[in-house]
Amino acid sequence: MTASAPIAQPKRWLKPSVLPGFGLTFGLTLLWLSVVVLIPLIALVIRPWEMGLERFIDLASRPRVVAALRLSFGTAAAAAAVNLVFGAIIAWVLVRTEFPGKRIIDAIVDLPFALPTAVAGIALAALYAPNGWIGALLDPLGIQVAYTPLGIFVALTFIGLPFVVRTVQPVLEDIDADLEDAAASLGASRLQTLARVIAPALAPALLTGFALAFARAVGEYGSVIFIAGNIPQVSEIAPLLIVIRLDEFDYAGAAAIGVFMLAVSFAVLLALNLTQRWARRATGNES
Amino acid sequence: MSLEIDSVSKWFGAFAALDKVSLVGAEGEFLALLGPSGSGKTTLLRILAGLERPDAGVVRFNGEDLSGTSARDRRAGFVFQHYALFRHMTVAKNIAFGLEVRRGAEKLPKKEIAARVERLLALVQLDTLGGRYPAQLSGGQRQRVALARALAIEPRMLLLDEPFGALDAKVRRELRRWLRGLHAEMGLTTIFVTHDQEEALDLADRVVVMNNGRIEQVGAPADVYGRPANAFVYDFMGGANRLPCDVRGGVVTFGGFAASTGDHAPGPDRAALAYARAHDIRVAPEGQPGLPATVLAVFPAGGQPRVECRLGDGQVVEAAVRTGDPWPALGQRIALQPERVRVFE
Amino acid sequence: MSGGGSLRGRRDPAPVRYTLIALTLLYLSLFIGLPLAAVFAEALREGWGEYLKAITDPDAIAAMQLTLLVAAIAVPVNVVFGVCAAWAIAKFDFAGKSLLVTLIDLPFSVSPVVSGLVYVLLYGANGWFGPVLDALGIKIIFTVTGLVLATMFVTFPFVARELIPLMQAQGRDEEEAALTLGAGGWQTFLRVTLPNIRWALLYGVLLCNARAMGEFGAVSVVSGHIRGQTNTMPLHVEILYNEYSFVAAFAVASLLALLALVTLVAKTLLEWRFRDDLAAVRRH
Ligand SMILES: Nc1ncnc2c1ncn2[C@@H]1O[C@H](COP(=O)(O)OP(=O)(O)O)[C@@H](O)[C@H]1O
Ligand SMILES: [Mg+2]
Repeated sequence: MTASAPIAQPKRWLKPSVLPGFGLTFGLTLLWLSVVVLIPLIALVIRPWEMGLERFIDLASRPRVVAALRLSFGTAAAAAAVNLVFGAIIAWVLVRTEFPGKRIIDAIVDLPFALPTAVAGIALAALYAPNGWIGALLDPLGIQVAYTPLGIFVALTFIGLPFVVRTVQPVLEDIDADLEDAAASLGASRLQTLARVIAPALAPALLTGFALAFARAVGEYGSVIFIAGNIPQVSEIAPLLIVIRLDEFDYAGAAAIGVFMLAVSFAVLLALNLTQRWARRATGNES
Repeated sequence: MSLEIDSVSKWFGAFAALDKVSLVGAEGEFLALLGPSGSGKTTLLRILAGLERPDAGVVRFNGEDLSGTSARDRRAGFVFQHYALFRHMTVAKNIAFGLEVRRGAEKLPKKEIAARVERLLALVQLDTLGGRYPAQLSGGQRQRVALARALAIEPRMLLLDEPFGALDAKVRRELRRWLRGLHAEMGLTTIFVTHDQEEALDLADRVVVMNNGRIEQVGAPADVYGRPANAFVYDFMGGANRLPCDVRGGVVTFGGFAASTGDHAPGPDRAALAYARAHDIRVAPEGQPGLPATVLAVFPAGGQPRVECRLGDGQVVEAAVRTGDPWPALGQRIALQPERVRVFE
Repeated sequence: MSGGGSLRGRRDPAPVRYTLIALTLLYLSLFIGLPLAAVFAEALREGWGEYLKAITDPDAIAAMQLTLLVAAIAVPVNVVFGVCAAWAIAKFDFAGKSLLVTLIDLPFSVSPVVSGLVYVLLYGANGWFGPVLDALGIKIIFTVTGLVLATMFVTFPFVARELIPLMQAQGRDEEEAALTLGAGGWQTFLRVTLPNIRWALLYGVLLCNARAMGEFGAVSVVSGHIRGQTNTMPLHVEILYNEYSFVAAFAVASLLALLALVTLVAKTLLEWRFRDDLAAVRRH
């Protein structure tokens, strides 16, 4: 076949289609996205440059700010780690066992998504206060949860729970039963199969679930502030400090913390994206 | 001259899916677009339906240029490869769709629509299934719903993309016969796409063989099969053996055996490859003129008794055993006499 | 729900299984059951009379009305936007599509407080547009407009991300078929596309609405907490709680908890019944 005269089309950014409405829908999408999300976020992101990078760094490195950021990231990581373990167990139970009421349990896992955070916040505070149902049990043991960093950890564990379960569950469902049977037929023990066949297949989902739970927990506000006690440099989380700065009309101070948090959550998501891409290439599946 | 495709080209980026394709279809003709997967058949069909815009060339219908006519106004009955039935509508609703969306003066009263749907259901032999959803139908039934839906708009032409592609062999044969009957009855200009040469040869008035976005040959089934225009078409029609031959003075010989090339000139003197089908190769005893070969296997059963043999150069060739000729034994040495061949430049 | 496949051959030994089930039940009762029970127990601590009094308090009712108003604006806007975005993204091929999808998902990864903060930085007294708006006499921060904007920010992706994967999976064949049968753009959308996505749309609306009514952090920042004016239900809960009106706080909270439960039930029913029509089930 000889190549005929190259009348190849210039590369168009939009592939032509007979379906109508692209201009309208794409235009509206872009407009709305810009007005509601992009322009406001840009306004935040360029604040540090508006006020001068030095001032920004100064604001973001005050002891109270550093303490708040450290507390937020630390408790979020701890809560996400606990959710990693229990999320995996719950997902396993939901996929691999049968018991009466399982479907209800399956549905209830999403409650932290659906329950307004303020409601969760006051409920947890009431439970873990020294005179609350759980607090009263822990008090004699000398354990205080409410109004301490431990309380923050409890609240963040509550809101992060569904993330790990809901990312691991579908992957676990998709793991081919034959794979395990094959491993068993090749002489692998149950534990070996678990460690060498199932764990690697679940690893990307576990990581994703952890990162999502972490990202959510870092920014969480409503469920935390009621139980935290909010003592500066002890149990004051970063989002709360933003609110306090705003109440003081200290926009620069609020923006400095906000930018920093935004940067970290993007970094987490970016890292996550890259690992997922890497995992996809390594295993050659998962869309 | 009802349908005219004039130098139509279509590019996807730097890739030519259609390269200056021209074709004329007569009123009421039944045309098959035949070609391997990726040869541009679907693309051509979509251009005819107005679902894709050609980068060059025009499509005319009864002399009218269709370039400015949208898919919506073309009235081309298009049957998609995977049917594209509306999954949330019943069979009857699917068929009625094209009538219900009509506007203005063309609008039909509900009763009229219902009556037409009834008629179409009867036509495609699905009278009792009007209330079912597509998911509740078999593949063959879905195919017929898709056809009825396309016919409902009283199309000016019928375009079918691999209409039997997803069906099993038995259903496919039944539907094929049924479709031919339907075409004979309605006389609608019809183009159907297929990659199955048997289907194309069986069904069509004319077969259009496509490859790499070009038309390789257009002709009646007997022509395309019996007088393939080039090696690709010969190959694609199936059962091709490639045999080394000598061309001298317009005569093709195999080890001293002269073959007929019909009306096809074999070209200048040279050593070449000839194409021959199994039933045109005769099995003769060793020592006679022809290509020496060794019998590898014999297939006495089936419509056409054949032997499989190996040539001196290791190539495996299929040949036919004529009624009355003796059956060779396994391992026996024989001479192959290709009686009718084609030699392409 | 493992598609009914047999679990035989990959069952854990019974003790392991029961331990895991027990752990799950314990963990979920501790972290989900108890808090939920606490809400209702605290709300009814002083009996139904106090409860009813608390939820019929004029400020509480004003908060409910405002919450409904905000949701009634934010959710439909979100539906229109979500359907537009999904149509453009799922039915067309264009450069930069995955970037657009990422940007649409962006609000999910932003802290609610930051979501409110960005609007204060734009429209607040010291914000970019603050002086201009001030001169024009337009107020956004500490008004209902601000509440709606902040709510739209946090609920932005809900409908779109539900529809995009589903519509991508459904392809363009049915729409193209509708066109060849003579349907126009609107007819195609209303008669073919919309029925195909209705359950996913409902699912998205459900989640979007729950978040819109329950959002706290973002609206807290832009609200100014003006009783009877810019106080939504979650904000009202906070005010009551901080005033030590615990019963009243939990009474209003119990209504929000009921909303969450209704949402969960409806969501679960949709998942059970229309599993195939929901693309994003289990992909929050
Ligand atoms: N929308 C498209 N974008 C890019 N390439 C396409 C598109 N549609 C078809 N092609 C390419 O054009 C060629 C012809 O496709 P098609 O007409 O579908 O072939 P056929 O129907 O004969 O199998 C194929 O190589 C296919 O990959
Ligand atoms: Mg095709």
